[in-house]
Amino acid sequence: MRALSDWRKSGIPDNPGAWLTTVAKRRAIDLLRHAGAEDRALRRVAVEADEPLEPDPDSNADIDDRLRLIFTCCYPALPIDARVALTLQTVAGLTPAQIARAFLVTEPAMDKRLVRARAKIRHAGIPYRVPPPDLMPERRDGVLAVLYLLFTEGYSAAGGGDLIRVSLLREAIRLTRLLVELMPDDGEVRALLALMLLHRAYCRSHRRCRRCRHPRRAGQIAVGPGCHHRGPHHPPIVGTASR
Amino acid sequence: MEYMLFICTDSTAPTTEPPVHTIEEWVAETTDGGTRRHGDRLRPANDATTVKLRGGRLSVTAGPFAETTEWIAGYDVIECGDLDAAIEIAAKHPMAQFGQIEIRPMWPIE
Repeated sequence: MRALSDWRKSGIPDNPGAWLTTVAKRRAIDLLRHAGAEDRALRRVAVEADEPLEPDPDSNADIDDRLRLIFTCCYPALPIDARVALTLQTVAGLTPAQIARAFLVTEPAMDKRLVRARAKIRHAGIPYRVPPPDLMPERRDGVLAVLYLLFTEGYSAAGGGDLIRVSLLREAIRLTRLLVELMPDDGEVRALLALMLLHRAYCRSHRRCRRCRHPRRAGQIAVGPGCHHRGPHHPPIVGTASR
Repeated sequence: MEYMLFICTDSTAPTTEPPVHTIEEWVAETTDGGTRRHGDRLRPANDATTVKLRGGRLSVTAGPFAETTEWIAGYDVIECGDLDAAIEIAAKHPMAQFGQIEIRPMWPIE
């Protein structure tokens, strides 16, 4: 994938085989770093929130930590753009540079936003915890709003082929899946995931027919391979010729 | 943590609703619980005086420092665990219903 996009711009390198190996290795390292970032971010926010982490004897400790992290990043007293950026940085492990590109602002501007949000968590005494049951419905809706906003940012960019912003779509779904894992009994969280997956199916089917490359119409969802090919955009009488 | 609650007016707030909480209830509850350090009403912005020292010259003007349609009508200093607790206390103040309340964490001089 990287080869296709890079070589088109800069030409085929002298040693394509070596290029592929190097890029693949770097990509693998990136992915590993991405996974590690979540743990590191958790520790960072935990320390900055000035609250001792009480070790939980049962195995739910990790689940609780990640939930606490999500609920803290999505605290309603933080500005909405900061909530989204903090969630992307600390839960999804994106760098400020990546977040800045995704939201079309400069990196220093994004840095400032993140620093301010962290300062507010510390100074205003924003609690680092999963909200108590009486606050839960409202706070959970706040978290879902952040995830949905993330999703729509990515979704609106998906048609334009803007790869950085499309990754927001993927992150939104990944984080919502995580939330479903963490709160398996919550119907609202599952409903949001279902909505995202449905939209993504629309989005994918909106691109082009795999066989004839004709743009698909919105609303045609891929149910099985090749089924679009018989869709209304492509009357059988025309055949598959040059379209 | 210590927070200052600025009890502010809000021209868009309802005026005819029956109050959910009364100020007497709120003061009694927060004073007995030990969360409220002190607090009071303030005379209207009309009674304000603003003082500035510029280049060694004292300037005294009538009125508040910023001309706004809303003003601070009172304040309370509370001590509580975290922002969730502060929000809960502020939400029970009658002016949360008939005005608005700004919560600001204190920044003690060390």
